[in-house]
Amino acid sequence: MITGTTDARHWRAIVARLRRDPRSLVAAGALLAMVLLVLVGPLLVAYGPNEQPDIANLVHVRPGAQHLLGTDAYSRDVLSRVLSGGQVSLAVAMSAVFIETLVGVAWGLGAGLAGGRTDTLMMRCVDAGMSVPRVLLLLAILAAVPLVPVWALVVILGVTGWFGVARLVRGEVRVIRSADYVLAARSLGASPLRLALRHVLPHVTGPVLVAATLAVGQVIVLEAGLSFLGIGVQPPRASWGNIIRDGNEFIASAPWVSLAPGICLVTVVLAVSALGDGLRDALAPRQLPRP
Amino acid sequence: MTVPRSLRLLPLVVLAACSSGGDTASSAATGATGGTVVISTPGKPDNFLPPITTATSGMMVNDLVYQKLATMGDALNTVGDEGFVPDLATRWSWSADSLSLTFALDPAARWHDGAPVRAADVAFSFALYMDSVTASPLAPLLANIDSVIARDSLTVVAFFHQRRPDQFFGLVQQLYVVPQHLLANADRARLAASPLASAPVGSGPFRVARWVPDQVLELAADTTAGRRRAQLDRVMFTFAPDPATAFERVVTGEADVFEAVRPDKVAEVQANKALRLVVAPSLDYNFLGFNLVDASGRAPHPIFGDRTVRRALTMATDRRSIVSNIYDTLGVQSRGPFTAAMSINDPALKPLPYAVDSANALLDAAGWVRGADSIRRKGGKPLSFGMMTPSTSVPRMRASVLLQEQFRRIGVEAKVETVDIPIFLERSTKRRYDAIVNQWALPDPAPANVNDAWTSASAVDGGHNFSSYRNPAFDAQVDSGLAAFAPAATRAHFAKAWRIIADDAPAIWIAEPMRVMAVHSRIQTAGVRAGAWWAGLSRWSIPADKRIARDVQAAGAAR
Amino acid sequence: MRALIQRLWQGFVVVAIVATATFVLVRLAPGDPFAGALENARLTPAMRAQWRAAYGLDGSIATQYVHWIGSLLRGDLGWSVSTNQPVTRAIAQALPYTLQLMGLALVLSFTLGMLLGAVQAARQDRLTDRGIGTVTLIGASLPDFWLSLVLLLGGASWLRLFPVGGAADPLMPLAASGATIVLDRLWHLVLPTLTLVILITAPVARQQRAALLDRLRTEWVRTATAKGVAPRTVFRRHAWRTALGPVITLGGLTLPALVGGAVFVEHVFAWPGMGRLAAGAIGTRDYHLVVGCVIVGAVLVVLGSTLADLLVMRLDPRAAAQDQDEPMRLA
Repeated sequence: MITGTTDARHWRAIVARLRRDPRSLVAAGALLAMVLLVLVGPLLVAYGPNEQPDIANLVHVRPGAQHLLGTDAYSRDVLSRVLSGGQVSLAVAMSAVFIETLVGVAWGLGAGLAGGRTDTLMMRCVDAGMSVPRVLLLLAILAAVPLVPVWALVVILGVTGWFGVARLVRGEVRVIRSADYVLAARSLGASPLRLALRHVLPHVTGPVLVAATLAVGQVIVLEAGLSFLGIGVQPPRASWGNIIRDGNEFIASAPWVSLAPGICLVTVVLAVSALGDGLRDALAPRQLPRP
Repeated sequence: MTVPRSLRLLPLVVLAACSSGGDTASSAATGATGGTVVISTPGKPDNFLPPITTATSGMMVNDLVYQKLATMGDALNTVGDEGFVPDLATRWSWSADSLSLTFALDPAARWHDGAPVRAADVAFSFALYMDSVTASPLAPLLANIDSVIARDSLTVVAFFHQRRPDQFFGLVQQLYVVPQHLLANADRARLAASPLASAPVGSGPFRVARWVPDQVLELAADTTAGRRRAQLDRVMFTFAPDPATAFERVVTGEADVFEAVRPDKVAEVQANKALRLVVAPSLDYNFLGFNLVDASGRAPHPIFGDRTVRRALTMATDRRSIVSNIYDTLGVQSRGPFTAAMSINDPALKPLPYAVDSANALLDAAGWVRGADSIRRKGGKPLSFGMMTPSTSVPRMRASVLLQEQFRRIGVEAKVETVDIPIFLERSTKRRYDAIVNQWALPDPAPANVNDAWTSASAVDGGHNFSSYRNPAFDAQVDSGLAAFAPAATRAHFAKAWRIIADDAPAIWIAEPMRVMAVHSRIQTAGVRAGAWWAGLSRWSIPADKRIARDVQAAGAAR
Repeated sequence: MRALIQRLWQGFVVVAIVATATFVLVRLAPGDPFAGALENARLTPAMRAQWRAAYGLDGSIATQYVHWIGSLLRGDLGWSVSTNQPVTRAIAQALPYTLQLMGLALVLSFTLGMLLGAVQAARQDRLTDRGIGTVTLIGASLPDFWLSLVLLLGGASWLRLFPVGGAADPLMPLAASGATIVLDRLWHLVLPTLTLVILITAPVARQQRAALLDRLRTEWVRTATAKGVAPRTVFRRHAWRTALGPVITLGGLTLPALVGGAVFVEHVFAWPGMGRLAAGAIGTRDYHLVVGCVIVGAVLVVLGSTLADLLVMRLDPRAAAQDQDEPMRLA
């Protein structure tokens, strides 16, 4: 288990480096705080996220003692919506990124290990996926399968986002495949699957993790864009995206509606990006030491 | 401008805004023609061939480019020929049995390419509309007309199947006259692909001078025929797909007219000295329509098949507050499939009351009992349904979320389903929905419009009675109302029909949104009417002393 | 040369996959190309069916596909129902506007991004580095539809400095001089370009910073430093040049992603480009137009990445195998 111990030691070193990096610590702290806030916060607020106390008289109330972040066009409490919307946005983003990473890694590993024509064909499919802007792809898919529940939205976001990861992994695999120790393992008759899991996967984990952290921010913003088009998370359920969409309409007269979720969204994106940067630096030099 | 009846009900803020402009029909101030009106719109015209135009912005252009035999007067009368204004025809006469009409055409009428307009063009146009190859959506509306023939080059005779109160309206309202000499050889199956569909040649007050799709459409006054000469020199449309962007163009003065000001922007328009608010009643009404039949199309819908449930749901909704939330003071509560601007309006009609207790009691009595999760159930099935809403309509999205919350309070779960327009149409025409937040924008105030969407005759495949509402008593009152020649009798029949349909509650009628426009204050509007604010555009004017740079630029002088 | 031909052949395969997949996907969506006419209550399903047949949009997907391939071979991308013209003409109208906007945005954001990235690399981990990193990231994480509207309201409506969207002044006189016209066009470009630059500068700066740091760590740069070459010269002459590779690759991927990908920016700024065209085509089920837009986009992607690879190979043959790990926001 030589590689195993080396890997463990290697990762311990990376974590140690991350812990010495103040930026990463702040980012992780902010992220953790945000997650805790959206998990616990809804239990503490006085109003439900979908409650409409008075649609005639309490619409667009300014932030104040009664409603800390004001109310929206339906007289709903913005704070409550931002908190419960955060749950949706964060859960959607993380699950979607998990799926895209999973699919991308599997595809990239498969293509890279298979080589030859299979590799070529698989990579052309990746190119094809990358050559259509993701927004248009999502528009077309959500037109074909309208009214999906949130879990399906997650899947759709995931399966439209893995192309970059696949390309990244496949590239790494092609490099590692020709490394001496992999050649040796192959000549000893190791199965391709074992090869992939034991020798190749550990080496692509770093770059993939970096890509995944960055993708979380992208997916949150993307979901916001879909909500803008009315095809994201269905009402009355809040997401940061659809709160911003609702507020966008009143950006001049009631800016607080879109500002609060906007700040949360930017905070999270900044935090995950900083974490990704920290991770990248901690992994440097880019490649893992070859055993 | 005719002061719309419903306007008097509006709070002072709107009235003041409306009357602040000199909204008179003539530009007597100078008597000279000239000026440019720039209309900023999020709409997108589809084509400019009237038989196949379906988009409102396309029809708007058609109204300016083409002529009809006669046009509806500002009073919006549709019975007989009273109030109709000569257009392509200078006069007309009825046969003794009222089954034929003879029109004398204006000998001075010219197509924009210079060719004279002849009776043969009218007969050709009618034939083009009715040709099944064309598949014109307007053909069914001309069904009462047997034939249109050219008696001589300037005389047209139309023969009708039946004598009906609205037979004159039915003919002249739908039949735009198109040029035979340019369309005779067009492929009627693919009429939209003919060059004339994007570069129309009509005989109306304006001709198309320039069209850059998605950017600008320039209409120039046709100066060759004096009688139809528009007061303005130019009407330009600039297109911005986002309504917010389209509105800002009026705020900054880049454009002069924006046709759909949102309630929260009204104050901004009023505060802007360069703008004034023009408010007109509309022919639009929106509603939550219930599907009365189940997926098979034959059995009653498991929830909405029950009249009691529909009535309970109606009574559970605070429609007044919903209207005020969405439209502020710029919408009135809708009470049935008509609007206040129509002759068949019944001001005395009382909708089902807002009474939550009664609603709860009705549902309890109907066997829908609240479960532990506070959702009502009957036989184990929850009182839960989908509420389909087009994602492109902000007011209807708003209505669906407001309704959803009010239903929740009486233990009813409504799931908002926002879909794009093609899916909305697909599912509503195939009756594959539980409830829809729908809106009908009636093209004209004719009482016959109610036939299109609410009588049994339209509760068939291809008809627009998406609720599949059938009540012979309602049908009978509508039929009698439409057949009556005396306006009082028509109104009496429709009053009864409205009572029946309100009690049956196949839909929860929500609002009649008003037409709220921002118009540059130098412009004198005319003939702004319900359903077609642009109808009088050729009479709009700009006094010479108030003209700005774009008013004095000659038509066709911009690139 | 053989490699180039192979690249282009592979590109052709990619475009074929994309076109076919899109062709099928759009037809799976409920609704039909004449459904946009909902506002007209009088258009019956029978009439729509008849219109579908007239424009060759009936029959099974396979039949339509065969027909479509046939006309494609004649250079005909079909008829666009929603814009009422041939697809090729609709695209020919929109593409130049998109290329103007995207080209300008790309040049500016790459210039800015590379400069900022270089400054960050030179001041690694210092306040300047962190500050620039944070500010560009905030820009990149703003929702595009929100940023567009804020800039439109701010720049056009409140400050009254720029026009409210659009690509050109519709009242520009025929007699206007060339300079006036160019100036007007640029004036209309300012706000949408600014929006895009804010959105896409961050990845460029990050890529540039990372690539520079990566190169500074390589042995030959260290050797050069050890041999007494001034740090500035090392930075300028060695690191900078080789670090261009990944940035160019990123550029090759970004331009096409922007063609059709800037849906919201084009929507809010009423920019008559490919994103607005493609999104509108999907929304109206204008099958031929959707496929046409996607094909044009895919062809640009292939050309863009091929061109980028060629450039990289000329600059630094060893770096040709570099892969991208940071997908673009708008992609």
